[in-house]
Amino acid sequence: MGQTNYLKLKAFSTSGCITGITFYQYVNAVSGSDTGDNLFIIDKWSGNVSGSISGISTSAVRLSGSIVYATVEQTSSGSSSNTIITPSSFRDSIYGKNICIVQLNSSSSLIGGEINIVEIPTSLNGWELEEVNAFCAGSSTNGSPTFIIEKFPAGVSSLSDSYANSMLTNSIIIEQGKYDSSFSSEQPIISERYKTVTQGNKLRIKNIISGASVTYASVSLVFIKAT
Amino acid sequence: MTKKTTNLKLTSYNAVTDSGSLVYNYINDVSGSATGENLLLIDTFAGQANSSLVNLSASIVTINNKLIFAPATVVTTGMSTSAIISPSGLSQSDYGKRSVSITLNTSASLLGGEMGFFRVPSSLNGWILQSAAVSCAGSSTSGNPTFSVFKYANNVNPYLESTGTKMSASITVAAMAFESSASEIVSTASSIFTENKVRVKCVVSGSSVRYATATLVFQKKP
Repeated sequence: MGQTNYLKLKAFSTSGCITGITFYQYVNAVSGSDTGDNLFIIDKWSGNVSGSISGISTSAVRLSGSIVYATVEQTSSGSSSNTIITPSSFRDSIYGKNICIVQLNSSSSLIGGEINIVEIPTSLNGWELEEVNAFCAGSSTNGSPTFIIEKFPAGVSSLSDSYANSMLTNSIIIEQGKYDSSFSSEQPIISERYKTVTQGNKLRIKNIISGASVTYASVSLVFIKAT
Repeated sequence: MTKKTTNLKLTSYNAVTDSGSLVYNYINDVSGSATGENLLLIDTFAGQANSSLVNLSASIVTINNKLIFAPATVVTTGMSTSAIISPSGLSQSDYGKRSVSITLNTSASLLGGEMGFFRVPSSLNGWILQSAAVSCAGSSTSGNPTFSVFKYANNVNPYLESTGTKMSASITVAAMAFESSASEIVSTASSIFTENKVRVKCVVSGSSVRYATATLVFQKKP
């Protein structure tokens, strides 16, 4: 009688080993009810396998549970130390935004027509203008200072008005006596058509209505990666 | 005629159609010790299955061990190729900082009183001023140029110091030096909120100071 390698099952060879083995002994070795017969060993092994599979399954569930993706809110707040940031949550969080602040004047009051230019770098290629605001430190004593943002294609020979596309369908207004456009009754609206910027675009921020005695006027532009 | 089972290819006997088989052949097929007998096939499978389970278990342990969150310092250095980033790790790393530079003058020397402003966007709501420093291209030949940092609540006049809150101790650039130290800001007044205005002002000009620029670094509260 031989023995298998792994489970140590009792094997019978017809080339001699079977000689002298009674059928009783054979049946007992193959399917007897004591602890050493083949069926008992196979059954025991299957129990071990089931236990292992159950343990692995539990580990896999635990592992799966530990892979929790951070929400946009968690990514923005930085409140979680055991969730994983995804590209999507990163993009939509505050860390996925780029802010550009463009100053138009300082201690000399706006007279109208002040401009400043921003060129879109490679890293913002294909991004979208998401939010705009204007601010001044000296508020207008007469009239509401108003600002526009125009986009020019890359490579144009001049920033002629004929190349300009308005990125706003409603201009940015700081109402008389106020310091921030967010307090204005009429809010800026970003153009769906021209909100996307590409590398080399020039953005011209321009004051078109000066108000009176307006100092330290600046415009904030917030960009986010397009979906 | 015996048949082979689908998976392990075990030899099976049908009590009717294989009733003429010899017990000798049956025993040999069921429990023989040569290659291809049922017991050997079961045993081989048991060895393979056990090995697979051991490997699978080890793989899960390996995966589990790879779920290591990078601390902020490691996110900053960018030196790990295996750690993963959590919101906390990102926000407290250098990548979680935002710098704002405010230029107070250019080629004309500071006279004192020059100001620059920064409007806090919504994405910096609740952040704190972490450090502030001033540099200049033309250093002072006499006196120590000094600067203040104030914040103002929404829609109040940001000219008046009485309506603002001082965010840090004064920043001083020593005479003949080109930059202040980038001091850490530890102040309960260092938090900024959407639409706050932050003002940097030159309060002591020094002499012949040109291209003075304040750099404010903000970060999410831990």
